[in-house]
Amino acid sequence: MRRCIARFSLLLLMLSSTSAFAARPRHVLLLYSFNRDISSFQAFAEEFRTQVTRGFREEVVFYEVASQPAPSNENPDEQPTLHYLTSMFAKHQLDLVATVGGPAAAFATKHRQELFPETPLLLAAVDERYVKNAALTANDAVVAVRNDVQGVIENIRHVLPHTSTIFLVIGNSPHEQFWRKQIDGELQQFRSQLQFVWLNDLSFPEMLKRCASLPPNSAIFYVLLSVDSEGTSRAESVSLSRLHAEASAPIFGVHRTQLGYGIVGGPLMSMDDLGSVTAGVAIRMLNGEVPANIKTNPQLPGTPVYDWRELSRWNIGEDRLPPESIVLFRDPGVWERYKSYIAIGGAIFVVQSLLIVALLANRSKRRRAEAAVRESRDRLSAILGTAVEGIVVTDENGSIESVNIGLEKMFGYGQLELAGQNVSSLMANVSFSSNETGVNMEAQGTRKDGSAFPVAVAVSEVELTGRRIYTGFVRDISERKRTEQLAREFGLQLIQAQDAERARIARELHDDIIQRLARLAIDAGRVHSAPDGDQHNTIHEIHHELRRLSKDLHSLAYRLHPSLLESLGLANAIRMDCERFSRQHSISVHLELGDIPRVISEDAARCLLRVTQEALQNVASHARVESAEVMLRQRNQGLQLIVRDKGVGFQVEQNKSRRLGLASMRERLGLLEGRFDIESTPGQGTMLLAWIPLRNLSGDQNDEPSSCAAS
Amino acid sequence: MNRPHVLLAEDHASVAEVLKRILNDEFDVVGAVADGVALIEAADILKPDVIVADISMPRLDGLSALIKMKEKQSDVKVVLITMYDEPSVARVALDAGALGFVMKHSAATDLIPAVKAALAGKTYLSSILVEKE
Repeated sequence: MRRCIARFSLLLLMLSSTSAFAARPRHVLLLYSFNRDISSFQAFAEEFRTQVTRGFREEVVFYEVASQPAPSNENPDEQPTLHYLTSMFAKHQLDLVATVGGPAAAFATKHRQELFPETPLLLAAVDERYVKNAALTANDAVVAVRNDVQGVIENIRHVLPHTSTIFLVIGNSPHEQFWRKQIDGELQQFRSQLQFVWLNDLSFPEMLKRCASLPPNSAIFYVLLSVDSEGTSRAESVSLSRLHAEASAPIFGVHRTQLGYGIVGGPLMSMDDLGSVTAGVAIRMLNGEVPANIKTNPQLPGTPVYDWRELSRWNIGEDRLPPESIVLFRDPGVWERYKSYIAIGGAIFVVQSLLIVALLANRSKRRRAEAAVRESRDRLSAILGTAVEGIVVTDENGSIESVNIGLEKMFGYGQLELAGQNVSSLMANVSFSSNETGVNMEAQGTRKDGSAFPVAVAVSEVELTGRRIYTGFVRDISERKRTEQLAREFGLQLIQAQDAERARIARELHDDIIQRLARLAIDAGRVHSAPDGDQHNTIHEIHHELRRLSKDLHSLAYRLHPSLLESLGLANAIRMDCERFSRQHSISVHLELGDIPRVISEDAARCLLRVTQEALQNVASHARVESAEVMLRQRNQGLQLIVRDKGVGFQVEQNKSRRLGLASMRERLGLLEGRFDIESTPGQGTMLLAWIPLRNLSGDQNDEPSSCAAS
Repeated sequence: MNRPHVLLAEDHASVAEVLKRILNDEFDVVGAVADGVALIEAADILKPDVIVADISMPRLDGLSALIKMKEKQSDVKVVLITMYDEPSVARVALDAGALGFVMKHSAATDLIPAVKAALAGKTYLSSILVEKE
């Protein structure tokens, strides 16, 4: 099986290398120690091929073959490899054979005669100690390396000064045993300060276990692990990685290729450099130089290189590293590692910040707007709240959504009691709908206690966020209705009074005046036939009756309209009225006239005269007294009239028979912005007070106060 | 025969006719007017010795006309005839400068004496008023 793999690899390599066979291509065989070294030494081989191709003018064909499939604890069966190599290169004359590593060098020198006796041999990448005793011919050249065990130990002590024990990881193959002996000898000088523990007797799993629980101040030196004590072959990259995962102590190695797989680092052998040096020697050999004459110094570990992650893991400060050390795998740092995340995060942060700022600005704007809205809402609600008018808002079905305080008061409901009720419970027969909007309806309102009162309702319709609401403005019109009722009653009474007055005049004319005239006509008719003596008497009677008749008619006419006010002036007109009243009703009137302005508007004068007449008429009709008092004087920039009696008095509110007279007086005074008051108590008499403001007075005052008592 | 000139102011035609007849017995009725405004104009032109004026007249009553005429010519002699029998009215009339105050229904007996008294610069009140006072 192993052979199959080896051959398969060989075939592959051959095919991949046959780029051109044209004009005398040179054939170079790269002979690796083990199959897997083909990949392990990739860096070396690549550099070697590149440099040879570049440095040598002629075409070169490379063949790569492993001397044995894998490292083994037993002596390997070399026959298959030998067989293939001879059959393969029987036709192709090799121009150069270059071995890579110790076992390959050993294989080549051992089988040189049977495989390629004439071909120059270059032993590359081989420790100088490995080829120290090799039998080299003139046709052989060596590019050695010096794996600096001493350097490794010193490096460990340098970066980890407290190290007391070093565990050495190495396999148990003959090749490795060789190296264990070599290295063990070189460790001798450190034994006074350090303890060394070889792990070659352990299988790889045992090694892992051991390395997982190492005492403090330990270090691991990964020397070489081709085949463990159980005979299991392992690829270095895999075994080193696993060891790194388990180990409780830092690991040190020798090759640059190991860096990154878990070693701390130090002076390491560079395969690139080795490949480059080897290529230089190979070119000289291809050019015909005598191989034995080509001498190169053993390749040494290069500038110390460290793995930053391991330094961090084991708390090795960079100040402890040798000068000019190179630190690789440096943690890119928060920024380096998360650059894109940070950039994205930063962008998000900026966007969010902008959003927040915008939102804050928006919020403060909104708050201002809200404050303004709140203020205007408060103001509106204060206005609506204090409005005497009731306001009710309903939805389309008449369900009450809100009302103002005015409405609650009007209908006698408490706060929030009306929400959700139907508006019809407040006002039957009023429907809040499109048909009724804008109409000022009169309806009957029903208070919470069930009492009814008249209201006027205006409904308006508002389309608000897709739905219809109705607002009703409700006014309590009880007072208006009462006033209207009073006005109606008053108007009716006026008509009735007018009718009554006309009836009285008609009666007076018909029953009295006309009858008396008829009698006069009869008397006058009898004058001719009467005896002489009687004629004189009859005429005298007629004359007397006519005088009385004309006087009564004059009185009647005056009662209908006092015509002399203008020429007499208010004071005299009132005095005349008092005299007339006294004479007619046999009630003495004590008239007291104060400072009366001469010029009084006719309206005001007529009003006061009428009130006087009316008041005196009331005294005559109801007071049952023999005297009354009339007073006219200036009071509070106006004229005050008082008519007082000490009669029977009456209940002001209840006396209906006098209401028309009083109402007409009140009406007259009201038209002139005057005041009217009546005080009466049954048995205590009556006092009537009227007051009219005096405007546009000429300042021309009437003569001295005068009084007149008529009897 | 130089009879005194009288100016009559009475809005009612038949009453005016009766009064003219009464006055014509003793005086020359030089003019007859029917309202207060006409009275003032006529008095200004005719310069009568005595004016006999009804109190109740359209446009301007006799009492107001008296007051206006007195403002221009203080010695104008006026006899007022009226249906008002209230003393207060008579007082107002006399205060305003009237020399006579005659009740209409007493005109047959009181008017001539009242005008004669006025011509003499004396005051005359109808007997009915004197009785009351």
